[in-house]
Amino acid sequence: MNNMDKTVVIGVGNLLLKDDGIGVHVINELEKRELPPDVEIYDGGTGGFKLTDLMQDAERVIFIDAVDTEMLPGTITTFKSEDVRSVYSMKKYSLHDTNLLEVIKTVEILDNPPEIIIIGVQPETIDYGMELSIKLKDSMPDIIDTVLNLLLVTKLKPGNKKIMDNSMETKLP
Amino acid sequence: MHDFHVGIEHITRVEGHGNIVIDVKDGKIKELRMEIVESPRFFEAMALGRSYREVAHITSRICGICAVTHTTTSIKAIESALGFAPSEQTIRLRKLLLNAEFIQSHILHVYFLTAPDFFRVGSVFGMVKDNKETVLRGMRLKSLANDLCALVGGRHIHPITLKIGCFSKSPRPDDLAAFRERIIKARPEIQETVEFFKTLKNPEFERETEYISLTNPDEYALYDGVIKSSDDGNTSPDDYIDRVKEFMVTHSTAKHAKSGKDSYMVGALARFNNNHEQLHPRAREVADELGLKHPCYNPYMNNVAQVVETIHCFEDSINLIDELLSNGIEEEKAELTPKTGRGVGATEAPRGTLYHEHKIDDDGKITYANYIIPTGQNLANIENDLRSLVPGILHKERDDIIMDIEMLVRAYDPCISCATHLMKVKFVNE
Repeated sequence: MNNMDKTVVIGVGNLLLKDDGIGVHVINELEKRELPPDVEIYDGGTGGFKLTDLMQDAERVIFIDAVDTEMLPGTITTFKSEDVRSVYSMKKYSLHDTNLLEVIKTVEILDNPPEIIIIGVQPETIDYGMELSIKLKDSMPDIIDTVLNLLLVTKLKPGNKKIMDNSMETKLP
Repeated sequence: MHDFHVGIEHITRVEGHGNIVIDVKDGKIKELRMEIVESPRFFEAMALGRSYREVAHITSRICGICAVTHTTTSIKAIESALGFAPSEQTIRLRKLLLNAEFIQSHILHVYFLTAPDFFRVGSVFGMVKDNKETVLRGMRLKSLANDLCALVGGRHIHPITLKIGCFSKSPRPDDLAAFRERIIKARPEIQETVEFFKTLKNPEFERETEYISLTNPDEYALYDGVIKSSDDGNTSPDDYIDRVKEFMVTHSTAKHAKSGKDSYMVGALARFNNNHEQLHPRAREVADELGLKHPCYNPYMNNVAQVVETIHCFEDSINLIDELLSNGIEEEKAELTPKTGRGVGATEAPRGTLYHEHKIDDDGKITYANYIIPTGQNLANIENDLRSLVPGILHKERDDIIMDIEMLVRAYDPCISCATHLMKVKFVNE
């Protein structure tokens, strides 16, 4: 049974692999903000199928994840699973911990699944380390704004994917 | 079929990325290898120079599926180096949390990753049409275990209450008592799980190998014990390096391992073979019901051993909650002082024995780290199994041969990498 008011925001990724951990870094930022009472935020890490347990009683789920859309680092793309033609992990296709869309498809087995939106951020560096790249650090305010806008806006229809290209913006140190 | 060549790229329904290459000429195996195409791990290097207080938090991020085991093992290694012994309450809570991870991981593997093979469908989504209730039951049991993880570990994924010395926050007795009732209420579904797996018949194949797991005179060893080899006795975890002999092979970026023989098996079947008499009585009954007899040399039966361990972990969790409630639960504090030392943590992960070794200096900085994961230990044994299996199934149709091979690899529940998960997408309108 869905909780008709509840929105769940889940940041996923591996904190030990630099920009791969962007989703978790965003959650850490959101924890400092005041959010509407019907919003729950989670550090999903590399939880794989464990994520389904966070989603089952929500009306809407917003994921933040590093997604390679072959655009410039820092580009934010907001989309739904229906928008995606093919998906494979960096080193080709694999189910289980790697593929967020498989997790989403699993939840969609339920009779009354939540609406699911993905905020994908183009990474610059996926390598061993706990720091984000400068480009993704610079993108953080825009990613936060994207999440907050979605929490206030009602629905994102399939096919209405939005791209915010931050990479053109030059920021002085 | 005297000649047979197969190159299975990126075996599906395993964690990570592995290829299998098998080349048979005139009925003889010319080439057989399981390639691991992941980058080598550099997590050990990331731990160096960090404070002993940070390292468990870092290692919990190696893998979200086995985060409890990595964190627990890391903590045990640090506590051992500092000569600290945690309280009985802390040990019981760690065991309860570990049970939750075992149930969660085993249920995921047997329902979502291996069951589709028996229905000849490519993934669990292929099972939904005719077996939706079965899939939903798997999801409910997985959620139950994950809720236990949240209750004890503070959250569903990457637990935060597990700390060196003690838990940063203890679960409330009322919540534990309520959870005990949830497990009792779930018993019919747990039994339905057993009934479901009775209907699935694993391939018949036997190859005796060396079985290595922890063992403990007091209990079925998951949280702690000494290292037991089915071939030649017990070894202290401090001397794990004498038991686990790692070696490099050219076709894998993950190290292989051997012990007395040229390969060995870790995981649920190894634990069953070494310690089956200590399973909960109900789990032993289930082993009988599912045709798992000791000793078992059929690696496909690792799936069944996982179902048996799931029953054990549910029943053991009830006992642990009873013990915690009868002893009273207190908020604890632990004072640890850094000093130079070496410590080894050995814990059973769902997939087999996990080792963390740390050395610490007087300032509490990590000066050495070594982590040995279960799947690395199983790789050589998987290849030896395939070498034994393939000649005996060459009379089958090609697709059936490939299915037998893939099912064998999946039976080990390999976790080749939980590190890389980046999605690459192409959009519909492009």
